[in-house]
Amino acid sequence: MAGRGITIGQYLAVDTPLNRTDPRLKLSAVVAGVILVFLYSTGRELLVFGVLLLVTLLATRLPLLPVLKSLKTVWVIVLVTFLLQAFLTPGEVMWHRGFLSVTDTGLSNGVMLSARVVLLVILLAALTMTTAPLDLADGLQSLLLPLNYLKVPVSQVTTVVSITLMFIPGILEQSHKLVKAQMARGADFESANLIRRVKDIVPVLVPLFVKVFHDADDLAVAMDARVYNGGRNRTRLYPLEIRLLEKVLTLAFISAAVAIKFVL
Amino acid sequence: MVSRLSLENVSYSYPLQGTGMALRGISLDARPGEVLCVAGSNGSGKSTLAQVCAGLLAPTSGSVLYDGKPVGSRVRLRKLHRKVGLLFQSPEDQLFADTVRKDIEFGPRNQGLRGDELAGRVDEASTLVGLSLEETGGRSPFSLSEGEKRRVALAGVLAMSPEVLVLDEPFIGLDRDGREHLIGALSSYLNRKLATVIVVTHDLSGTWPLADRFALLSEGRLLVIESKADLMSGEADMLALGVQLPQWGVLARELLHAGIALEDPSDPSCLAKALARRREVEDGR
Repeated sequence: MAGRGITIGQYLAVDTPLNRTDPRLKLSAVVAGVILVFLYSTGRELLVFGVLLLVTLLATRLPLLPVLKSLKTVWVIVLVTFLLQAFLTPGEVMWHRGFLSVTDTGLSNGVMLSARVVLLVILLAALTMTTAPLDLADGLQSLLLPLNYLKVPVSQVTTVVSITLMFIPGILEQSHKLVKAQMARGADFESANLIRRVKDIVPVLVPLFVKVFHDADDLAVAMDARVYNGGRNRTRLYPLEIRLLEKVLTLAFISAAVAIKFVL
Repeated sequence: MVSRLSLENVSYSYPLQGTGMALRGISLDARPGEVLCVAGSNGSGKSTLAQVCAGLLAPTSGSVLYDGKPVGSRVRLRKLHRKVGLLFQSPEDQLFADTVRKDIEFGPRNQGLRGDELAGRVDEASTLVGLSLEETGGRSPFSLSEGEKRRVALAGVLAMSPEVLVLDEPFIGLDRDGREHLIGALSSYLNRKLATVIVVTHDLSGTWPLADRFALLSEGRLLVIESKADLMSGEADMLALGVQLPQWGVLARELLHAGIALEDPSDPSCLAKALARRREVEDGR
């Protein structure tokens, strides 16, 4: 069914140490992880980082199944990335048939790029699953605060980001409802016929857009009605707080990830 | 009488939500020609039950039977969609086409109907819900009023000529005229076909005149299945479940307690006549 099983971007309300960790620390660790994933130049470095990530997630008792399920969303991207690299990169030919040839450089680049995509998805899934959208936006705002001095409207930007994030689960839920409503009227989203399936998606998209624009309009009016006025002088009802243990553990994760680059 | 749709010890939990079981060991049966009302407060599992009945959610455990045969596989679930029509709580979840006529045509088209047969179904369904296709057929369903949208959504379901009709909170947001229209449409449909209607609701007032049996749902558990008379005698339990008798139901209960005989306790006009008779007797004294 369309939309079913898409877990990336969805907050998972479970009680784990990672859920309780300050969003700024999680954001910092993820940003460091993303940068390092691109800096790692060998398969061994990526593999060790993958193990480190897995051990960290296991240690925080985060249910791994939803995290790994998020890979389902991107498997086509991973496959296309791998195939494009394997077939189109010049190098020593390892396999050849007709106009198709796989090179050793292509194969190794394909594996490296695919591994990078997988690690990035796991990192982002772990972040979004353990951080409520509003906490994420609060963390982002707090980290970007210095940009206020450069006249960047950080508060407004993060409000837009947080509202966008808030809408994602709602849109997914709404699309589920619409798919069910169409299925109840005989639409077949599981048919083997691709054209039929694509045709059946259109009746879902139209009301989805109507609903999303309607909700966005309602939200804007509701914020206006409650005299929303974004700006740098806004105060926080629940100020963010970092505990020492969280800080030490996050630092340990980032240090271990950096060490992989320079020690291995 | 053989059940048309039965649930046997059905439980359901939503994957990945960590919210526990939405339905716990539900067993119920709905017979041809009856209106079964499932009442419960918000979050009691009513909408989940409606979707399980319509084959949109496969039970986590237990089984759904249609005409005595289990509906287990995906193929059979798809077949169930053609026999069980579901009216969603919000018409916006159901409407999508650029015109009202196309929206009502969607279901029967998926059933393979074309030409005169299709037009006949659409006209029949529109007439049942009191919708003039000459006036609204070419308009966008999203430009209609809430009551009209609900009529279009119901017409879209009725046009599939389902044997079982599941209605999820059908009376929400309807004014008195809207409610009467809906009750009229459902009565007409019941008279034309020996259909089964399952209404899930938190408000009994709309369903009261139509319902033959009532089931009460609380925290995913089905507590009782009773007749109107049974419900009227045990209102205290219903209040604890967040369900209230309609006002004339309360009045009928009080009249019955006072020893006044009622021909049909669910008919407000009967109550008025009984009260008038009582007044005449008292005046005569």
